[in-house]
Amino acid sequence: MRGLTKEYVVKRLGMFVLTVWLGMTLIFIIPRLMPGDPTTAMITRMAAQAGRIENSAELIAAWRSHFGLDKSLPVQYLSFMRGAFTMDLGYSLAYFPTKVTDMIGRCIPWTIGLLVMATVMSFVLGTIIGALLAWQRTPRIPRMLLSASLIFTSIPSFMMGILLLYLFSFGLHALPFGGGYDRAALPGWNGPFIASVLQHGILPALAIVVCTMGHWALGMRGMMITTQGEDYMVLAEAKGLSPGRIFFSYEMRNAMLPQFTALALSLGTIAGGSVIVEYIFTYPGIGYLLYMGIVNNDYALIQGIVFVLIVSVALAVLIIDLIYPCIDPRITYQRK
Amino acid sequence: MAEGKLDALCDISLGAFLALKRRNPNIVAWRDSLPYAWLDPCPRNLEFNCTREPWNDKDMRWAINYAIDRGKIVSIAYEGTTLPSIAPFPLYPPLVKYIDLARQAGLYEKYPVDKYDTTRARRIIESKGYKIGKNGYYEKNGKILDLEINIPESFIEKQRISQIIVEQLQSIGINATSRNMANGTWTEEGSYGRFTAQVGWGTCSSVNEPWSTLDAFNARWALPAGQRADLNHWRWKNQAFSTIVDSMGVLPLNDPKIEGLFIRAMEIWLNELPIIPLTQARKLNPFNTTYWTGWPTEKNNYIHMPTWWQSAHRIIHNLRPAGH
Amino acid sequence: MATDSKGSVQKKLGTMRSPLLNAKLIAGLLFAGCVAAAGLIGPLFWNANLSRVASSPPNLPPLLAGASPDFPAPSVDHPLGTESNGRDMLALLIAATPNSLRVGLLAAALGVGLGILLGFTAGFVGGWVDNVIRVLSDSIMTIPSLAVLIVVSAYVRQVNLENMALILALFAWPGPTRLIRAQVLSMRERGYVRMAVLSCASPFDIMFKELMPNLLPYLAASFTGGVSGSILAAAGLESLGLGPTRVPTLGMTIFYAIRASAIIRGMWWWWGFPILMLVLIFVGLFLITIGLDEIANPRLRKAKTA
Repeated sequence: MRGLTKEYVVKRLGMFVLTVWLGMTLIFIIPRLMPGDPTTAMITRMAAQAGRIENSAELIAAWRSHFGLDKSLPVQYLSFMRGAFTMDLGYSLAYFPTKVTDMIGRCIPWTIGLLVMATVMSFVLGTIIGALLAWQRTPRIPRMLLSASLIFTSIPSFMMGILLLYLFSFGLHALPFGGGYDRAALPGWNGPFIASVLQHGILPALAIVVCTMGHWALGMRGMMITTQGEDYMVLAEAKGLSPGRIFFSYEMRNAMLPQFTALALSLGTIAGGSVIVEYIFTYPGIGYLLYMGIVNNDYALIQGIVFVLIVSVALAVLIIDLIYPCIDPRITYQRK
Repeated sequence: MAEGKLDALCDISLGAFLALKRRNPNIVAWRDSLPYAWLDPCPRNLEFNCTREPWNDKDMRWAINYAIDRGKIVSIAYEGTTLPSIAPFPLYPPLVKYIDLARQAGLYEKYPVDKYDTTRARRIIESKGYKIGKNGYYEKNGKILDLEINIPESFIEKQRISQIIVEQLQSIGINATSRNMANGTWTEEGSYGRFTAQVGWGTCSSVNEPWSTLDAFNARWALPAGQRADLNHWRWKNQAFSTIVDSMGVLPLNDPKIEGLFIRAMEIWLNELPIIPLTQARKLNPFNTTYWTGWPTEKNNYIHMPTWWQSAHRIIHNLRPAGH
Repeated sequence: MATDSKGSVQKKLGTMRSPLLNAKLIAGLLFAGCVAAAGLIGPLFWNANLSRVASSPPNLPPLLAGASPDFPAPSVDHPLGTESNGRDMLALLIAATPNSLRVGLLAAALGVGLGILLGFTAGFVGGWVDNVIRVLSDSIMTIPSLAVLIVVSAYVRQVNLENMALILALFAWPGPTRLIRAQVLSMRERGYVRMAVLSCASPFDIMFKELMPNLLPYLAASFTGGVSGSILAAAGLESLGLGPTRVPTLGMTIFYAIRASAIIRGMWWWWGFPILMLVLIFVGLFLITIGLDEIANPRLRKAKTA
């Protein structure tokens, strides 16, 4: 692949590992710096389940020794990291003895479906809007409309979600209040189920798209303006190329590259925002699972989900970083 | 439920119920009109850990009682759908009879549990040596008078009650705070005596005679904090009271001697007030009659309303498809 | 003299309007100013104690909603309505706004302060120090901050505003650091900086006397961006119920509203006014940020007229 050198790939992989390690370390350290003792909290929480399940005492003892919850801090840290890297996220404290990985596995498809769809739509729409706003030849009225659509940028997506719920579900009775699918529909690859999944996904996706596309639009507009000032643009016009070709092949293509960087940098924020959107819509993704974990003081589940979130975002950034040199020839030339 | 996808729910607020009814007129509750709800046998109390300072002193517990305005709790936390509580019993007719007996014996004049009097509360606290410190709270020996109330997380009702109590206690100078915890944790902390106060329903027992609930206060059940107690989480020990309750326990139901013993026991209990009775519990369960009829209601009370007890199977068997 | 792609020559000197008279900047300051004023002088006009639980009759709609069969009649004593715990909405807004602003300001101040320090150090010193700082800041930017915040808050529960600001600052410093570092790197080679180095000025002098004045618009834009992000993160956490319970904040109000089914009950004023307040804050800060961006980057100014 053009542009990918071994040392670049190694560096990016190193960043990936560092990010995940740093994130998990923060999760481990910060609660222990605050007043109150998380270890005792966890053990109390486990013991509270004890009366309900047979052999739970043995299970709890085994788990305690496995994770070293009554040992010193460095030992706990090592078992914590070991568990994370072997994807052994332990048992849920509230739904003991369900494994955390099982619970996450059930919810992740919903989040991936919603987020990927919404982010892609938002990125594409926002970039196009930003490019059109920067292009001098956009007519006046569409330009004004496009500017107006950016107003929603300042509204956080979960607040937009509340507004949409009020308007469409409460006011117009047009769309459902929440959930991932109609309770009456049988899950599976059948028409009614898929239709109800799409129907339930409209409002959450709309909330995310409308409120995040402004960032891409403004970034794109800024980059386009910078691009317009470059020398090769003057040459392209002097050569007599058509405005459309200049717009697509020259301006947009060059302005797109930093947009991908911006996308990579903002994935963390998008993941965070989606948690609250899922909570508002009781959408059965890992965001809502995280909220249930909070309500139930299910520390194991919370840690597991956050680990998955950190790894996913870091992985997405890694992928973007690996693709980037393939589309930006300047990096190849810089090496020579 | 508004879209007709669910047939029954558990306990919601009055406002939510009215909103549901507006969207789906087929939704009914126990009663046809205000307060719509069914009276639950587990009254809510502010329960103390009577081994912890300064709440091992009955005067301090009484001070808290005078500082709480039950009327506000009823009108705001319950939106008017329940009644205040002045004894650890639900207001079922057989027990109302006993409470009236206590009233006729003058117990409630001597021990005015239902009185809201912040001046009296402050006087009691100050008589114990507390003075208002520079941040507005009562202090003694450099220690602020605080009260941490444990709340089980999933009961919105308890959280709403505790918010109001916290405000009322804060306004007279006690640093009250409420602490939400998962249900299992809350029960653990209660049984092991690892709490200062909690909003709970531990007096749930009697439905048609008083001994059952009174026995929950028996000194025999009070284990030291740190050991798991089944009853009397409040660790209240009063030998005279326990002896009376024990002699009540061996009598047959409706024995005339019970009334006299009851008055004597209630006198001690009211004097000490180990727990503060707050409100009667009520459950506002909406039932959707779009697809099924035959739900238990006041008019059709073939069985009591709860769908979370074993008796629920009788409700399920009694349901008929709507339109038949 | 700079030329743009149209080939016209733009005069640098003699422009009639000062770049500081940026319409966006002024509009933004106005919005933000109104919000801040509501919090600061509001308590003088309205009793803030009405924001306590059980202080007002519950479920009153605001005056402009008019009477409705589903709710008690609105009253002049509670012009913005009340919610079902007996809190007055106007008092709640007045009491909660300063708390929400404070978290943002504190977190952003700490974050930008740290960012300035690390950004200057990275850009100026270079070498392995620069590499370490750059790698760290890129790492932290990738970590979803809200997720970590949720974990911390879930353990601690009674998070007070100051601790929340500290943790938010931990995630707020990478942005300013990158920005400052990039600017310092590009300015390092400029003539006046090299003069300062040649005349044996101390690094401190160079930083504060030469570089800082030119960086002010970037720093200010960073700061307002940081405030916006921190307030958003705090509001998000509180909306999940992880905020302080007795101190009124805009996010916790939204949380109580959702938990009490305010949407389906039609009590739009309960969640509507806090959202409006937060949107005003965000719009104001956003306008300020892009206004400052335009001051810092003159090309963006010109593009408006294209």
